[in-house]
This record gives sequence, C-alpha cells and structure tokens, in this order.
Amino acid sequence: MIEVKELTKVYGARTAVDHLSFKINNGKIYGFLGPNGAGKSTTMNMITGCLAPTSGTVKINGFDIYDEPIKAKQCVGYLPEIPPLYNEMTPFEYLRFVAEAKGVSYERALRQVHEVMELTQIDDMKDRLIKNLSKGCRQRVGIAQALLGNPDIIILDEPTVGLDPKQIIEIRALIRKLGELKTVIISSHILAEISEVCDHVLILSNGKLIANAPIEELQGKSDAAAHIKLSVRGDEAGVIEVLSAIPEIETCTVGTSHEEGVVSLTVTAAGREELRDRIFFAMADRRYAVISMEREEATLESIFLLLTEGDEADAKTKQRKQDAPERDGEYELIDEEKEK
Amino acid sequence: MSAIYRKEMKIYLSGPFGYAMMAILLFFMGVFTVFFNLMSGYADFSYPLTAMHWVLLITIPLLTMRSIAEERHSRTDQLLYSLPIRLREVVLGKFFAMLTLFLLPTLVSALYPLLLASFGGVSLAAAYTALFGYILLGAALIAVCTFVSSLVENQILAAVLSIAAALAFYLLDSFSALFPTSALGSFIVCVIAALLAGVLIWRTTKNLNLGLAAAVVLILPTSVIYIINAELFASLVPNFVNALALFSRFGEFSYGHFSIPATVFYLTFIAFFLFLTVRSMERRRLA
Repeated sequence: MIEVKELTKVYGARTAVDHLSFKINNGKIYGFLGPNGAGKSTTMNMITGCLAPTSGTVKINGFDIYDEPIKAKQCVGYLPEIPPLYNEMTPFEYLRFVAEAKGVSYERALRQVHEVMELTQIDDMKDRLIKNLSKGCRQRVGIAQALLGNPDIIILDEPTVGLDPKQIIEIRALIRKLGELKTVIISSHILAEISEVCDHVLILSNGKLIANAPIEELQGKSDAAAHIKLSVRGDEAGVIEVLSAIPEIETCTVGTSHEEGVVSLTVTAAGREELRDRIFFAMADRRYAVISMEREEATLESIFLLLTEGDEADAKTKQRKQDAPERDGEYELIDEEKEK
Repeated sequence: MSAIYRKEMKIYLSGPFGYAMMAILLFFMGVFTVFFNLMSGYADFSYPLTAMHWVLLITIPLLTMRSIAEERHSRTDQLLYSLPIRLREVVLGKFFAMLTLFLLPTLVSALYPLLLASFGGVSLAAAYTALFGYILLGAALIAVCTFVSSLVENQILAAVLSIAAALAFYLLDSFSALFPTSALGSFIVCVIAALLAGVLIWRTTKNLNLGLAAAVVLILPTSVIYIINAELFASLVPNFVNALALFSRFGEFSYGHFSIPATVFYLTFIAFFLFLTVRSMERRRLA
C-alpha cells in the first residue's frame, strides 16, 4: 500500500507537483493519466525515492521512503521512463546484478532471474548484449528488472512509449498478467491505454490530482451525457420540428453537412433512455430518411479534456467524493471483463 | 556494495577499455623500470614510480571519467537511486572496482624489485615502501577524479576536468612558493576566497542574498582576527597549500621511510573525496 500525503515538488519558480495526496491499495492496476508535463514522472520518481520532494511524505507499506529508504524500496520495483540498462551487459548479467543489489541470495536470485525472464519472454535473448536489443526487448528487460526481489508494488513509467503496435499489445498483456499478482501503477498520456489495462485512474494536470476513481465510475459519468449524432435527408426546419416534438431532447445543434440536402445534427438527451428508435420512427413518419445515426459514448478523452480544461472546483468536489472507500464489487466486475 | 563492485568490473572488462588502461600502466611502468633501473643502473625503485606520476595524471582521469557521469548520462542512476542500497555503497563499490584496475598492473610491477634484486643490491624495503606510497597516491587520485565525474554528465568533460584537477594538485607543490608569505598577502587571498565562496553559493542556490550573506559571514571574522593579530596570517596560504600537496607526500615514501602522517593524510583525503562524491550524488536527487 502506498500513502502519499501533501507531496510537493518545486523547481525554481515552477511547481511540478502540487500538494498531491492519495492512497494506493493492494491488488489493482492503477493508471496515472495526464498530459506531458503534468507531473507523472516526477511523482513516480518521488514515490520510488529517486527524487526528494520539496515537502510531503510517501509511505510504502508503512515505511517512509526517506526515513527508512531500504525497507521502503524493497517493496517497490520501478521502471523509469528511460529503462536504466547497461549496454555493455547481457540481460542475464544485468538481471543477476539487480537481483544481487536487491539483496536476494545467490540461489534465489538465479531462480528469480529465470522466472522473470520467462514471464517477460526474454529467455531467448538473455545472452545478447543489451545495446543490440530492440526497444521492445529493452523495455521488457526493464520490466523484468522491476519484478526482481519480489516486490508487492510495480511502478512502470510510460511502459509502452516508443514501441510498435505489436509490442504495445504484448506489454499490455504482460501488465494485465502482473496485475493479477501484484499492485501495478502505470503512467501514460494515452487514454486508450489506461482505459484498457487499469482498474483505477488518477488524473493529473499541472501537478494537481483532478480525479481519482475506478475506471467504470468515470465512464459511467460520461454515459449520462450521451450524444446522438445523426444525418437526415430533408429540410433543416422540418427536421428540427420533428426533434422538438420529442420532450427528452434537450439540445439540438446543427453541424455542417457534406452532402446536398442532408442535415447533420448532434442531439443531447437528458437521462439515459434509448432515444434512437423514437427519433428514427418520428423521422420516418414525416418521410425524412435517416442516413446515419450513432450514439456517441463520451470517452475518457472527453472526461479528461473536461477535467483538465479548468472547472477545477468541480473536479475537486468530485475527487473528494471519490476518495471514499471503494466497493468490492467493482474489482470482480473488471475481472469478469478481463476473462471475456 | 559487492553487487556494484562486480557490475563495475564486468562493465570495465566487457570491452577493451579496462584492458587498455591496465596495459598502458604496465607498459609505462616497464619502460621506466628499464630506463631508470636497468639502463641507467639506479638501484632505487622509486625513480620509475616518480616518473609514473605523469602517466597517472592522464590514465586515472580516463579510468574514472565514466564512473558516475555515464550513469547520469544514460539515466541508469535512477536504478541506483531506486535500489534498496545506500549511495555510499554505490560509491565504494565503484571506487574499489577502479582501484582494482589500478592495482592489477601495479601488482605485476611489484615483481620488478624482486627481479632487480637478483642482479644487484636493491633495498626491497625501500622499494615496497615507495610502491605503497604510489598505490596510496593512485587511490587518492581515483577518489578526486570520481568526485569530478559525479559533478558532470559528460564523460569527456569529466576527463578534461579531472585531468585539470589532478594537474592542479600536481602543480600545487611548485605553486606554494608563489603565494605571498606576508600577513597582508594571506589576508587578501582569504578575502578573495571568501568572495569566491559567496559567488559559488549564489550560483548553486540561485539566491543572491544567501551568497552575499555567506561572503560577509566569512570576511567579517577574518577581518576582525586580522586587525587583532595580523601575525596569524603570516605564511598562512603557503602553509595551507602545502597541507594539500598530494604528490609531494609521495616523496616521503620514496626515501624508503614509511610515513604514518602521509598514510593518514592519503586515507583521509580518499575518505573526504568519496564522502563528497556521495554528497554530490545525494544532491542530484534533491535537484
């Protein structure tokens, strides 16, 4: 478990991380989300003891990272943004070194090195020099390094940056696999990645925590504001008249159409009721042909933009609300999804 | 510490670099021994060791340049910071690895006095005392240059600065005669040093007031002491410079005299610079 309290890092006049407080519980995959420069790496560096905070405390399994650094660091495996690899060594030699430095006894170190090499699939390249490995392989060696010493918590800073799509899929699968065994924290500025692998999201913007919630809770929020996008062949006034006859429709914005005689609209409806059927039949009654109609699920992207573009007061109340203890059901729900 | 030591040794010996360093040390040691002891016929083993000083001025900075600068450059220092080990273990592991690379060719050279003794009268005690001093000198240079390497991120810059630092220590002995021995002269040097310290603090903390305060705090008591008793300042600077002399301490060993003060000086010097290296790495974490 990680407990971060009032963590702050100031560089000269710039505040990179601003009074960050949160708790990371065991057994989940957490995602740090935020645009570049939001303070994700700085926060991770402070949690792992690579960087001293200006103020605030970090406790890992109850050990303060600055008062009892050795005990605290034994609980954490860290992969920084740039994998810290020695080019002159082979993955096997490198992992042996890290295991030894983490204080693992000789025989257990050998066994652990083989275990993590198997888990990260670097067995067949273990005797090549690290400098000759591809970026994806280097990343996997970096992850393998973080797993040594059997820490409870694995922190991976942007683990998929710069990888090709196939490697990204492999690394994500690996992260999911790790999430079954340990607490995993990953950071990313890519929303799709976070929503795909994480159970819980912490959104950072300008060094501040603006959201801290299970992923489906955030997505659930977005469903409430579902939009329907449709194109209808007909005259604008008539189409709007048909739509205004449906009481659930709140707003109706006319967009630019790319086809002659076709009206493009975005409709926002209150509540979560399915309106597409009613819109379709109402249009059909007036012999307006519906060319296309799709329900636009507000994605994490839109929530992210919504939260990061000002409106911080709202975000803060949201955060406070979501700091409440989590429900147990959510975790199982995610697991079921995984199995599918 | 042993993990870091083994890692360093592996990296040094994974390419030609470590071997080249040892070969250069062995080569010059051999050349100087042949020149002084065989061709010129001196029975004193300290002559080739003294000649080696110039070789050390270049090889030790080359040996140490990557030690910490390269960790920073390739961002592997983050691994060292996040591992459950103390920074002093990291620095000591690195120091002993470099010391080993320096000691291996030196131990081969340790056979030379034995060889020479079979051809004539060589004082083995004097030869090995000199060799002991030589090893201490090498270790002290490694400590200084490791510290320099911890200050920068670029290996080449580290090498250049280390050579400059080593050269400064080498020339310090000769320079001590150039410093003024008068009390006023020493006082002026002290004031300049205090101002430089103030500037240094200003530049590192980016706090002008703090730098000014430090300079004033250093200058005021110095001035008061100077006004009360100017005699205290006589030959202060030359004495201070002499106290730092790294290379001339070797001279004490070269006469075949096992000097305990010089040994203590070298060991303190090594400990001090390794401590500074740890502090310098610690400071990186704060930045």
